Amino acid sequence: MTTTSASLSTSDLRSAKPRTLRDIAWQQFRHHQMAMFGSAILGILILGTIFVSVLSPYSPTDSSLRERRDPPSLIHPMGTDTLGRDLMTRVFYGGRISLTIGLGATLVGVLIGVFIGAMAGFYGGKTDEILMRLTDLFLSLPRIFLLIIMAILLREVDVPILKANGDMGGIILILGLLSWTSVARLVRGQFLSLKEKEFVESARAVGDTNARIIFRHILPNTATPVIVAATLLVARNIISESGLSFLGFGVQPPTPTWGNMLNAAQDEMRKGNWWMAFFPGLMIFLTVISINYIGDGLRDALDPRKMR
Amino acid sequence: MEIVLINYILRRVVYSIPLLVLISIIVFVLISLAPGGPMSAFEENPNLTPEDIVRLEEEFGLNQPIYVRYWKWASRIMVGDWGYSNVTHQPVLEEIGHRLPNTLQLMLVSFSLTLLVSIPIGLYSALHQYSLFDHFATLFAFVGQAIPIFWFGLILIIVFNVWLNNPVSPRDGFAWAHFTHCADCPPLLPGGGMAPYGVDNPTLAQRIQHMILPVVMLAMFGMGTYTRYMRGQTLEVIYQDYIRTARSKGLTERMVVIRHAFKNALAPVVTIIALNLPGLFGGALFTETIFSWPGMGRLFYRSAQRGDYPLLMGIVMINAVLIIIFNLLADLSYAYLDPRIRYD
Repeated sequence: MTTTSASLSTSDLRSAKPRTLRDIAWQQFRHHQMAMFGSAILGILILGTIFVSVLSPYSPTDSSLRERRDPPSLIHPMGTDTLGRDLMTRVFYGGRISLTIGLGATLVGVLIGVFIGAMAGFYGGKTDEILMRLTDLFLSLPRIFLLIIMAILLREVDVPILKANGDMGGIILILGLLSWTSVARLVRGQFLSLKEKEFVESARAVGDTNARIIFRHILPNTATPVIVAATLLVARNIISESGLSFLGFGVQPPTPTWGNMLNAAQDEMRKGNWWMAFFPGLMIFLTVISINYIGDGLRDALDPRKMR
Repeated sequence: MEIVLINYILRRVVYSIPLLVLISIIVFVLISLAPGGPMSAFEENPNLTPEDIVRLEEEFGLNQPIYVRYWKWASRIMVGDWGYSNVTHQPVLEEIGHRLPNTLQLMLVSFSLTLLVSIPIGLYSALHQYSLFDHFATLFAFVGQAIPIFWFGLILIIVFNVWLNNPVSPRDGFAWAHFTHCADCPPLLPGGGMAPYGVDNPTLAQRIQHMILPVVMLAMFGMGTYTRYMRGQTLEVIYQDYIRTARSKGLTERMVVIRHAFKNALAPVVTIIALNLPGLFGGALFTETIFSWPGMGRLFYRSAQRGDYPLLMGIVMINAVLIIIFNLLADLSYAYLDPRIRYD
């Protein structure tokens, strides 16, 4: 970061070390209690899903006929399922898939959204018109209904990368295809205002190509709102995946996800075996509320109006 | 004024036609990619030779290019022929017609409940910013936004259907302890269906009992979002000059809030509601599946399981039409709430 001598001397007056934007943002974020709390919870969950294979004495797939439907106890803190598998182990293995899908689908969605938004905002005119109509169209599609139809079609597609882990790749793809609209609108808005700025004019004056202007000059400046939107999108995609799997159209067993564990627990719950539905759902809830609080904290921390 | 309004509505209806056409094309292409399709029933029939299959395909026009088939399908749609269910062989429109009122009933009641809870909470917590109530309301909003409604539905069932009983036992009569401990008591609330099993003409009380849990579950959808927006919008308007003017005129606080703050804060919330309403159909899909509510969502779920494509297509189209109608209604109410908006 380059600073002019004038601003350096004023910050010298306040503190010995000039603060970078990142320092300020981090300081803001740290003061957002709920965001820090969310980060902690999410951190623990992620560590749990990574190290479950080392920490848990149980396998997520081996059944034990003698321990079927055991309520939570010291040896099985979240109880066991209908096949006698340790629920806590499965919840963390399921978290691996659920979190991966949430992140993967968001990545797909953000890539599409950034591309479409950048094209629409930068080129304007007819391009903008067509791309924004496309965005409107996607916004008015009945989302969950199309997700289900696409998920059914997915079962017939024979591409190994989409099929692995009980259709995980395919679910990432279809969720991503239906989650780019908000990012596209956001990026377009940013491009519309940024492309008129002096730094773009000067880049053009020194002969930069359009591609260079888009990717090197304008795009980095849109990062802040995109990061916030992407964070919230991860939460949304995790809910969508679990909903789809809950209905039986998402990730297929035996690969566990929070959603399809809930699906399997539906009948059990009516018999009073509450833990099988309670814990997977609790994980979705904790993950989503943590991510939402983190998104809230990021929005406050990265808001230039609040920077001091 | 009236002519302007009618013009506006007509224009909006005309604009929505290309949107519906595009949606129908997308869904048609997706569904024609589907396996099985209309021929699967014949392909499994051992009495038919491959030559018969080809002949049948020609007869049904399935060997024609996709745009020809779309064109034929679309022209039939226009005259009200939506095809037949693959499974029940009933006309698609008839199947949907039976279920649509049930879905709309569920949605209307639960959506009213959502607004009755979230709008006052949002308003009150903004008027008492940073009070204890406000903190709880904000927490409630965050919880409401994060809770997966299908999980919430399962929790409702386990608490009110499995754990809690109707405290009136047929043998011992009423006792408080019967709520939690009673062998022969019925559940506190029914956990599925629109009426007790086998009852064709349920009483009003029975209908209401069966509605409570699904309505509460679906009402959770959007509750957090609307609470947060109402709070945010109220905070936006409450420091405006016209509120100060209203106060300095000597209006009571009550009048200031109701006449000036509430109405102006509500207008942008209506837009959020319009954007969220289509999602309510998705919510109804989960609610109806969990509570065996015989509506459109459950019909879709079952058709998806059975590969009943004509029905799937019909439901998506009806949904798209309803979404567009809801959006139009929301725009009109927005214009009503904010007189600055003109219909042009």
